[in-house]
Amino acid sequence: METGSVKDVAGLFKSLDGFAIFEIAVIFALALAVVWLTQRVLPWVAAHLHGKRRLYILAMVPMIRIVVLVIALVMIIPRIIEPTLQNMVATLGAAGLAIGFALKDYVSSLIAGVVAIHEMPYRPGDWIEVDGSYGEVTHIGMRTVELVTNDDTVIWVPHLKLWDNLIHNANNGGPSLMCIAEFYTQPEADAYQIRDALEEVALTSPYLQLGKPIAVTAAEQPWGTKYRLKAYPIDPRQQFQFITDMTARGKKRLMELDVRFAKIESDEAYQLTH
Amino acid sequence: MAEEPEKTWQWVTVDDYEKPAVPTTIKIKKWWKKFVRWVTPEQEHEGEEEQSQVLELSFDTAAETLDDCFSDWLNDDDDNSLRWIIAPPHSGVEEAVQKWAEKHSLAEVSLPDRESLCDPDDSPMPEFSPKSDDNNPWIMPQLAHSFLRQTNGLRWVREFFSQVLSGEAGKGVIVCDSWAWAFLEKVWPVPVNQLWTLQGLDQNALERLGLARGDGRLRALAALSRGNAGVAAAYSDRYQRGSEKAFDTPALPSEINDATAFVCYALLLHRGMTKTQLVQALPIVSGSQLEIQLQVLKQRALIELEQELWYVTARGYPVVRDLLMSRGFWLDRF
Repeated sequence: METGSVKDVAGLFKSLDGFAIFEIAVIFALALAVVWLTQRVLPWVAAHLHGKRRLYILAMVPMIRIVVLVIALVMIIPRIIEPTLQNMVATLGAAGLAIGFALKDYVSSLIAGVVAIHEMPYRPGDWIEVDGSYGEVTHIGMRTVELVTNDDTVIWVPHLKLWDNLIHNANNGGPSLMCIAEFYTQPEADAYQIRDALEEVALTSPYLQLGKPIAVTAAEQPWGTKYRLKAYPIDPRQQFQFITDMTARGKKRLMELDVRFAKIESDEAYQLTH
Repeated sequence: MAEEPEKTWQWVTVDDYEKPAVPTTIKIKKWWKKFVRWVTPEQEHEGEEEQSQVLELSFDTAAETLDDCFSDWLNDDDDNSLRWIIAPPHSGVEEAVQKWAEKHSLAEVSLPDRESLCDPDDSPMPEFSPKSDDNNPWIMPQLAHSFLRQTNGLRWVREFFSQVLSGEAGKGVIVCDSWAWAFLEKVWPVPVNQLWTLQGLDQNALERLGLARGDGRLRALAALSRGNAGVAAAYSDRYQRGSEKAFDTPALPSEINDATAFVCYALLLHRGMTKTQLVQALPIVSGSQLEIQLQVLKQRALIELEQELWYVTARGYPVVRDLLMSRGFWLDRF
């Protein structure tokens, strides 16, 4: 009986001669080389481009990697296992058991990585927020997604977060990313005059994407009126400079119009925030 | 019956404007050049500071043919509509219309001083009074010179649109640069009729003007210049001197950042600016950075200083346009 089971398991695998091992090694090496090359060449090409073309090129990196790895796997498996239904079920069952106990989170991240490539909740070049961390997706790996924040800090987020976390994607694969500059004025100020002035501030910013709308909203707060100037920069990477430009010129313009800014004493601020 | 000979200068509505076709071989050559410049960015700047003499074209015939389109309108006293003439830089349209306006004694609208446009709100704005006493048509020589892209710099042009489009100002011709027009369509988004321009010069027109010889060269010149007469003349000059690199465009600086693109875009948008105006329009770019950008672009013969105004050169225009397109800027339609 025992000898029969060992024979059954051994029967799953083909006898690997030297040539078969060489073939597998070549397939594996070629797949890694293609993946390595695309992960270096495509981001280099993308770095010289802007807008949609840059984002398309970046999005191709994880796509090509998954396609190459699947092709390599399809070519390698028949060289190791006799590809019958019975053999495949037995192999996958054994692998599933091992994964379930020992490598659950790791494999879950790998699978989430495949799902992420298919569903595309984030792509390279997107600006996303996961668990309070906001940054640009620079690389989608097998297990993690790499973000770079505005302070040039690199954050590796496991794809696992995809299953149960909210992912905020600010530009969703496109070059349009809304930026908001906020202004706080005393409540007596003329809201329509401020709206017109702020719209002009956005319209005259060199960062503005002219094909997108500009909007100003106002809301009353305990300390005065809060204005939000919303507009889109030409490139999502310009978002912080764009907000800086709108804020600096917006403040200057409001001061020219004798608009008084809302100010609160430090003890009041403490009460409002606690 | 003999066929009417094709005209070199044809005035058409902007919707009928056609750019010369770009053959695939030229597209591939262009991509290859770009690739080579990526890989070896420092190898191609020899002699770029040398400013070649641009061939002077005469636009007298273009001015004369404008009568074919506008004479009925001009002579109809009951027709108080407007005519808008939009054209890319260096196309020669401004000169042609100017000559035509002089011939018909059109009253010229005086342009506001750009620096004064940015004065505080309570300062009086330069008046717009184009209507002469005898109700003659007027001409706005260049609308791009009437604004500054700055928080307070669009007041005059808004007032201008308000008056002319309401009919208060009477009959007039407005000349506007294509880049400024693309921006002004966003500032005053009211569609206007009767937008005119000079048809793009195809290879036949370039041959008639003697700007190049041979089918391949003519096609290449038409594609490079996008049918723009001034740009074609700028590249034709080198060809006539027998240079092998006739259609070599100036190289972009090796270090390009947002400031480089902003300076180029601002110069096109305003159809030339002084350094003071550039400082006013681009406060996000520091004074020293602005100076650096101007010097670097000048070294590459992409811009030039003429009577205190910085302009994008005719030879640099195709390069600058490509740069702005690749960076996602709002482009003109030519």
